Amino acid sequence: MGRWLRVLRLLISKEFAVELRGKEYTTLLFCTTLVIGALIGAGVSSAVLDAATTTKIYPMLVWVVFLITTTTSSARASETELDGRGFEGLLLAGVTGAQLYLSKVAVTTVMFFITWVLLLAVTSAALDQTLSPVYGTLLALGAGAALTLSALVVLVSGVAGTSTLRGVLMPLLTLPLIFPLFFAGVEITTECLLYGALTEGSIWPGVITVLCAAFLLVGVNSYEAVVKG
Amino acid sequence: MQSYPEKWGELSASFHAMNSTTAERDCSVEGCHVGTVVEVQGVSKRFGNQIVVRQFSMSCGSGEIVLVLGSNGAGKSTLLRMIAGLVTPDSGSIKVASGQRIGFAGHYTCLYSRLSVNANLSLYATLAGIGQIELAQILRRWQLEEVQHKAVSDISRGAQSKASLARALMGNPKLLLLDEPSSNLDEEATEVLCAVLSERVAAGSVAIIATHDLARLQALATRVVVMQCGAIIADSGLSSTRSSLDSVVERYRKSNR
Repeated sequence: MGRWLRVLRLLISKEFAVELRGKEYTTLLFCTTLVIGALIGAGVSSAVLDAATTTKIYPMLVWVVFLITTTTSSARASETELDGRGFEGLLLAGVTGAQLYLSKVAVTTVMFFITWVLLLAVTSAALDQTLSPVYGTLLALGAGAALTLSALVVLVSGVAGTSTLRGVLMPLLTLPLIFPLFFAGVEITTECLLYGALTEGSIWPGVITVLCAAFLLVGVNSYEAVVKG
Repeated sequence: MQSYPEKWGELSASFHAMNSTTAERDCSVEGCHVGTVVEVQGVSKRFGNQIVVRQFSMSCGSGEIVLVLGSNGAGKSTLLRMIAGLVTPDSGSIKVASGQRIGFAGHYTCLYSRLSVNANLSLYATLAGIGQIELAQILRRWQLEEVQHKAVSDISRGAQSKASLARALMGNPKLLLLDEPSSNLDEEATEVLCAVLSERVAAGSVAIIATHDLARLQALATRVVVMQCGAIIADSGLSSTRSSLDSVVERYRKSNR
């Protein structure tokens, strides 16, 4: 187990190194989020809605931007593996498909979480929303959503990555599967903004947990077959 | 069914006779015969309507260097990828002696193009339990010192091939599967390749090499297998003599003129 975790840590370092060297994925992800977040913020502001209405539609806007930018930007998440077939060398060197998958999920989760923080900052400023009382809950929600989403996106990007239409395939394959995450995210964010905290007995954190576990389970067991094609 | 050219008939028959003899050896351990590093039995692979490898059988023991010859599309690369476990055969079985590391260098470098040569090889060195001193020796031997800090995408195709071979041969793998290993190498690098192969095989490894570069690799070979349309049409045999091996190569050369 110790060696297994050491290899996983090594692969996570490799993933960060690959991303930091090119910064294509990071740049695309963060820029798209900032631009779309700012545009939607400016658009809604120009509609001169009252504060209560803006608060009601805010969760939906944030989640639409978050899910669309992350899924469309992630078409190339497995590109570094497929280009040059790096994964083949690693598999032959004794790395398991599960380790490869989890290392990618870890790095993607971090990037998605930063995206979430950036998005909250931009949209809350543009739409004059006060998030500070529930910031902790929203960050925890963002971390859970980032992990769930990356568990799915890494797997799907392996499937779509070999296609020249991957830019279209990624959202087409991913969006139907993340509807439960979208609803859960919107509901939790709404509860936080309207009531100042999660309501007691809310089922939505459980929905995200189950979804995350399901995606991780499928990914861990099938990523090797997915990238091998 | 593809018919073989007549001039291959005799060799093909002798191969089948010899293959049945090797199959009778009674010394199985972990699914593979003792001394046998890889055993391929009746393996076939089809991509769409095209049969790429058909009923291929071969077993190789320690100390062998097997050259797999054949024109483009003969099924050499697919065969190597199946033995490496990167492609699943449609039928048949491939057994590699348990616990043996496989060194594979194919058409792709299996390196991360954005990372430096050093970062790539360090990754594999760590996985193979090789220290920095030994890694430095590997870089020096493969003449990669000058480009070690450059991204793989920024170095020449020849240097990429050297880095790929250094990666594949790292950690003393027992089974080496090399697909056109010398195709991008200069004379000096090819000499390094031959020297490393000789050392590894002397230490008990098996090398299965798909190649067209007979001029450079024929002298090292202990066995030559010729493929056509996915099947073996000639095999110089286990522990073949130099004359039988050269005879198979000569026939192959003539058939390609």
